[in-house]
Amino acid sequence: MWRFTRDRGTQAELVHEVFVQVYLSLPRFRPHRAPFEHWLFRIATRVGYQFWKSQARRQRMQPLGEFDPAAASATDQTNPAAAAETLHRLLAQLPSADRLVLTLMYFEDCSMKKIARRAGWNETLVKMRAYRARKRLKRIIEQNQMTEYLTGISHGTT
Amino acid sequence: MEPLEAVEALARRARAETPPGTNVNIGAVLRTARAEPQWRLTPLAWSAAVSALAACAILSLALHSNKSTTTDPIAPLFNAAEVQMP
Repeated sequence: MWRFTRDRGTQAELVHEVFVQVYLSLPRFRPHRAPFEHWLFRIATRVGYQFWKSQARRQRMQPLGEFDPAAASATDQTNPAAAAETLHRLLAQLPSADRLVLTLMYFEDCSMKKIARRAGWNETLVKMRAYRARKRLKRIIEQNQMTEYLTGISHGTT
Repeated sequence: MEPLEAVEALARRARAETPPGTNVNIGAVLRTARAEPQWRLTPLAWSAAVSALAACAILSLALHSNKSTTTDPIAPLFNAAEVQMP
């Protein structure tokens, strides 16, 4: 659930919710249809996605303008956690469905088929969302002139 | 470097991060789960309920239309009057 929030308290709440959903859905689990792990991942993905959707309803997204690359570069950017934090904030600019596809793709290195299974969506829909999400992401990066900054972080040179 | 190439390179670095672990309080999980409302309908029950409602609506419409066209006792009198008018 760390991919859905960077806050430890919220992460604990989400994990709690996943286990509650697992307990409630247990009578519907069919072991011959899918391994337990896949079923669990699917529930966790659904809980995380619902969390993003409710968060988006409650508050507007934090504009990227508030994200100061200069301040961020003061931290140790060679640290994978810093790269993950930057990527998390960047993906948070996208709508929930696009964000889910790119989070699973970039953070979990999932294939389209795996994303479709975990999100419970059609594979064609996932491909279409991935294409649209990457286009949006590219536009956000270009508008904020972040390409150079991201290149620096990804090579650990800022 | 292209913006999306930069993001992919960033993602490769981000994947090396070890997510922090979380302890789960099973007792609290069970308490929350048991406090959840138990009246949720299963998909089969939903489909049965919707079918029953649709059947009721169709039946009610059929009865209503039947009544208005064939069981009106005054309609034949009017028709007869129209025919006999010079």
